Amino acid sequence: MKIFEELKFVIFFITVIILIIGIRIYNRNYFSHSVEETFELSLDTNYYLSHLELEGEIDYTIIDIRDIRDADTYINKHMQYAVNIEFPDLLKRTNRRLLDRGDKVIIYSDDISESVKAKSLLNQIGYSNIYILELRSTLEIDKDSVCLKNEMFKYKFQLDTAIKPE
Amino acid sequence: MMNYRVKFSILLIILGVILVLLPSMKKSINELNPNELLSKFMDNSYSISVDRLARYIVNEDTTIQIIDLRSSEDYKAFNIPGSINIPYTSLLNENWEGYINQNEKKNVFYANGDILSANAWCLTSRLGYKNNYIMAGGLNNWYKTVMESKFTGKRISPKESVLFEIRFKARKLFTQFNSLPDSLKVQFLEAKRMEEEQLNGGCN
Repeated sequence: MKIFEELKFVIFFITVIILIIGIRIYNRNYFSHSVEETFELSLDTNYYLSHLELEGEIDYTIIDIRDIRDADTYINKHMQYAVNIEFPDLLKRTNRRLLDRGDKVIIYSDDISESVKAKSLLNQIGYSNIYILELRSTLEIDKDSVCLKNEMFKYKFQLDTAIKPE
Repeated sequence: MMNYRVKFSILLIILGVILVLLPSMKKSINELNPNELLSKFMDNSYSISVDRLARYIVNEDTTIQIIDLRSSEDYKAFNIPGSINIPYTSLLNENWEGYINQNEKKNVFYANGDILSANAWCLTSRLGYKNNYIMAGGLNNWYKTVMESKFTGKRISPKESVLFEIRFKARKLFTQFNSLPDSLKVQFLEAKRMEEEQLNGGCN
C-alpha cells in the first residue's frame, strides 16, 4: 500500500497528460486515407481512362455524377449502364453499395474537375478503385477520340523575336 | 521525499511545455472531415475564368498569387507573367506551405488542363487551407481564349470591346514576357509596374 501511495502521483500525472493530449488532438476525422496517400493516388495516371480503354473493361460500375435535375440530360446523354449519383449524394450510405460492387468504379462528368473532386473525396474515405473516364467538353461519345492520360499542352508557344530588352 | 508543492510545480511546468509543443500538430487539427469537404467541393466559386485572371494580370492585381503546377522545365519554357512555380509533384513539400497556406492573397492554381489544379485544390482544401482557386481549363483554355481569340462579329458591343482589349493586353504581356531571357523577366515586370504607376499618377 505504501508503494501505491508513492505511485499515486505518477499515475495521476500520466492520466492528466494523456487526457490533455487526447483533447488537443481529437478530431472527428473519418478519412481512411491520409493526404499523402491521396496525393500518391492522384499521381497515378492509370486511374484515368479513355473511351477506348473502357471498351476493354469487363467488371466495373460506371457512375454519372452530373446534376440531372434536367431529366432530359440524363435520358438523352448518359452512357450505357451508367448509374447516376449526384455529387451531393456521394457520401450517402445507400450509394456505398454501388461503390463496393465492382472491381473498378468509373466516374464521369461533363466537367473533369468535378470527376477529380469526386475521385479525390472517395479516395480519401478509403476507395482506391475509383477511375475517371475522360470525356470531351460535351458528352458526345466519340469512338475515335483518344484521350490523353496526362495533361498535354495542345498549342505551341511562339517566341516574339522582335522584342529587344531595354 | 519531495513535498506536494514541488511536485505540482514540476507537473505544471511539464504540462506547460506539452501545451506549447502541441500546436505543431495543428495541421491535422485543421483538416476537414468528409462531410465538410463534400460541402466545400459543392461550392463552385473555387473556379476562376481565364478572362478574369487575364484582367487580374493586366491590372497587376497584387491580391493574386498565381501558382504554376507544371514541371520546372515546362515553367521555364513559358508561364503566365508573375506566376511562381510549385510543381505538383512537390506540392506537399513543407517549403511551399508558406505560399499555399496563407490568408493574404488568393492563390490561383493552373497547369495545362484541369486535372492537376483540381487535385491540388482538393488536397489543400482537405488540409484546411483557404484562399485557393483554380484557373478553369488551364493553359489550354488560356491559349484558346486569350492567345488565339479573334472577334468575328460585325459590330462590337462596349462590353465585348473591353473584354477583347484585356485579352489583347494579356496576350501582348504573355508573349513579351516569355520571349525575354530569364535574367530580364523580373526587371521587365518591375519596369512595367513602375510605368503603370506613373501613368496612374502614382509616386516613383
